[in-house]
Amino acid sequence: MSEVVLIGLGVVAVATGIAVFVVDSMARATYALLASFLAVAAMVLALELVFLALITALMMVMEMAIMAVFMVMFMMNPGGLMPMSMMHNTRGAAAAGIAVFVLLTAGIWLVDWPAAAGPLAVDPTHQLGEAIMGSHMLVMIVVGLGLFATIIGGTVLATHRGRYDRFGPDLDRAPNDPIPGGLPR
Amino acid sequence: MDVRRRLSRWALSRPSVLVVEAPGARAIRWQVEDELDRRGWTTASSPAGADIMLVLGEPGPDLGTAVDLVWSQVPHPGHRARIADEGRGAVRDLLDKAAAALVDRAGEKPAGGGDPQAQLDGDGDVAGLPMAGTAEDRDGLELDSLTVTLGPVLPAWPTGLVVRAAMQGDVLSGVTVKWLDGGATATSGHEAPARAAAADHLARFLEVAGWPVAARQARGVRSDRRNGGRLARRIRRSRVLAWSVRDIDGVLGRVYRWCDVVAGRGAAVALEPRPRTSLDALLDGTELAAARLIVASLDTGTLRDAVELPDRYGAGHG
Amino acid sequence: MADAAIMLAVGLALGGLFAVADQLVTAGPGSVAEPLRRPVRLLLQQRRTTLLPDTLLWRVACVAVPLLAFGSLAVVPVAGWTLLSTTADLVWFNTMEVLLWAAVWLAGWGPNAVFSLVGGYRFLAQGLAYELPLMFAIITAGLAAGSLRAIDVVTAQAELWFVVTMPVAFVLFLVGVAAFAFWGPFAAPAGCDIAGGATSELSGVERLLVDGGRAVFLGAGSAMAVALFLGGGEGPWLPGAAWFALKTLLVIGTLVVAGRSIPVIRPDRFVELAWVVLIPVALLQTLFVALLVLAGGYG
Repeated sequence: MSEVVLIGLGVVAVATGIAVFVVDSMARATYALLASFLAVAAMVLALELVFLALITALMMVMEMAIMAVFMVMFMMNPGGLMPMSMMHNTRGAAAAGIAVFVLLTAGIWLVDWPAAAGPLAVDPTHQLGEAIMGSHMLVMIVVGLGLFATIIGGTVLATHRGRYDRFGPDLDRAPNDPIPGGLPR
Repeated sequence: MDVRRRLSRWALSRPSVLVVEAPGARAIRWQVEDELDRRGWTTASSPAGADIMLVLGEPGPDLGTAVDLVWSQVPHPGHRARIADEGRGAVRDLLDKAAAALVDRAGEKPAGGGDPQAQLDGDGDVAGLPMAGTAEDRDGLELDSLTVTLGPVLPAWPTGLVVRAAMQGDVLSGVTVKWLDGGATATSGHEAPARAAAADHLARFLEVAGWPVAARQARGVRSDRRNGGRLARRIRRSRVLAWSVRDIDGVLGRVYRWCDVVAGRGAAVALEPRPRTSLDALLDGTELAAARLIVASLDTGTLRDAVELPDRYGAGHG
Repeated sequence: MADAAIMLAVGLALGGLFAVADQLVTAGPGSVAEPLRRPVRLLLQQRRTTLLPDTLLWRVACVAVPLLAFGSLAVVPVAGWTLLSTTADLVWFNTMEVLLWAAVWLAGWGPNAVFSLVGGYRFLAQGLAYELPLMFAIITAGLAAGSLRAIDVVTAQAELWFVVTMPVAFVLFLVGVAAFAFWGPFAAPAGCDIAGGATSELSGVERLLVDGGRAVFLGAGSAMAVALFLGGGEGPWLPGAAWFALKTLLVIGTLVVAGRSIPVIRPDRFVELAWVVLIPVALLQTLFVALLVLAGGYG
């Protein structure tokens, strides 16, 4: 039963992934991609890894919602009301896609996956937490800090004005912002 | 059938009303709003959510076209009624009759022809409408730009005012303002005590600011059912309101001035000073929420004077 | 099957309670039966459409809102009973309300109307503001209980309610509940200044689904606040179900009265406050609770 569910969800994920390229509308492309990610999250849920499935769904929804805003903002024809081809460098992209697909499929079928040691954990979330915060804590901390630094760095690079534009060369002037925020800063 | 009719009558006993105020109908609007408050009927904020559409007074030709367009968006069952004269009894009768007519309509089949396409007749790219273009925004990014018209019929908006702008995100630029039908406003020909007029302005501002409880209190002050001093104190003490609108030029000052009038202080300040710039300059570069708050904070008479006459472009649909 | 029907009934009851309380505060006692009348009235209304809507996405959005509301209710321990009990209930509740980001934006996008779209964008801007403080508040309750299962969080409060040791998290949770259902001070996405915003073009059964979904979300959020911070059904003399009902009524009443006593907060003002003040405060609260856990304060 669960295999049928998994295969069905896999088909949904692939189909909605294909739909991303078939539809004309930016909004539909974004949400087809979200549907694909949610199908994958549902597959993880069907494998009884609740925490991972929910985190995947949570992150993907937030990302796709923000991405939709930027798609509509910057791209022509976001509603798909005029026919438009969204594909660029079709041959190169198809070649790269097929190559990665073959590589991944070969890897999945050829790698000697280890067998499960011991019975299934009663609380997989607890087990995951122990693994992350125990044996892999250093990796998680480094990755977390790296992600955070990337986000802040990206935002800082993207903004037009820096601290010295806002506060003056000695950082002592009151900030002159075209749009003030909610706090008197 | 009888059960269905009884159910409809119960369900439609407190319908949602869309009030459209034509020039010179301010007194009628006050009575209608008081009656709606008394009955517990809600005021609709869009035609899609309305059951009854009430047109108060006599709309002119351009405003009439706009009102017809709004009526076409009210779903079935919907009832349209007009109130031309004042008198509390007249308002009560009309509302009762409207509710009854609504129940009758609910029993009928919806008429066809609700096709929104039929209402428009342009020659743009898709279905006769122009697509949104792109333009540089205030940060220099090439963003989508949409031509937006605010008014002439909007909730808590001076009916007849049309603000046309290019909107990027929700920032308005290139604002042009005009009044329909030669600039007759709702307050023309209605003399009201300063306190009631100030309470009315406060009620409209509080609706736009999203504070329905205080707006209801202001309407009560307008008809002398509630204490004006208490309302003024509540608004002045609201730090959230002050924080929320502080960054918009002059809005808070104008609101506090109305509070003073309502509380009985500063009653000598009957007319407020004309803003230094015209309305389109005030609204240019503001966000949609800020633009609505600015318009709501200005007295209707000042608004009309703040628009440079003659109007910028010729007659057009509302 | 029977369990799902019970959850449906509980959800509708909670949503109805919230709607009645809101109606009482905004319109006075005259129209208390309005939350019963309104669904029937909306069902009698014809569904109208706009010019060139994105019908698929619009319908998906309108159906998604109530589905997500009941989805979030599935893990809320109502008087000790939940429909679902997973090892990550708190994250489930969080995910259901995050999925609203997609649903409300789609509801704004669908009608191809200006005010509707602006309402959808305002919701996302507000979402960026309230989401992190809400997440930290939820996790703090799980941290104190040592488990992400909602029932464990309730039983961990047998001696002391969490609201005593983490009041900031409780307040942030209620703020988050009002914000994700865009109600009260966070109603900018459906504001009067944009003619109803994301709900401006909804009529008939679609309006019923969206507004009903929001009410159920608010009711479910209030019940979850009781379970996470006010000890669930804990209390002397009365049975658990009665205590739970009383506490939920208290939370709903507080939320409605507090929410209706302030005007709408504009999202662009709220974002800076949320990121610069609320997130550090939430983190400090989590730190405090973590230190308490390490010191053995939670037994």
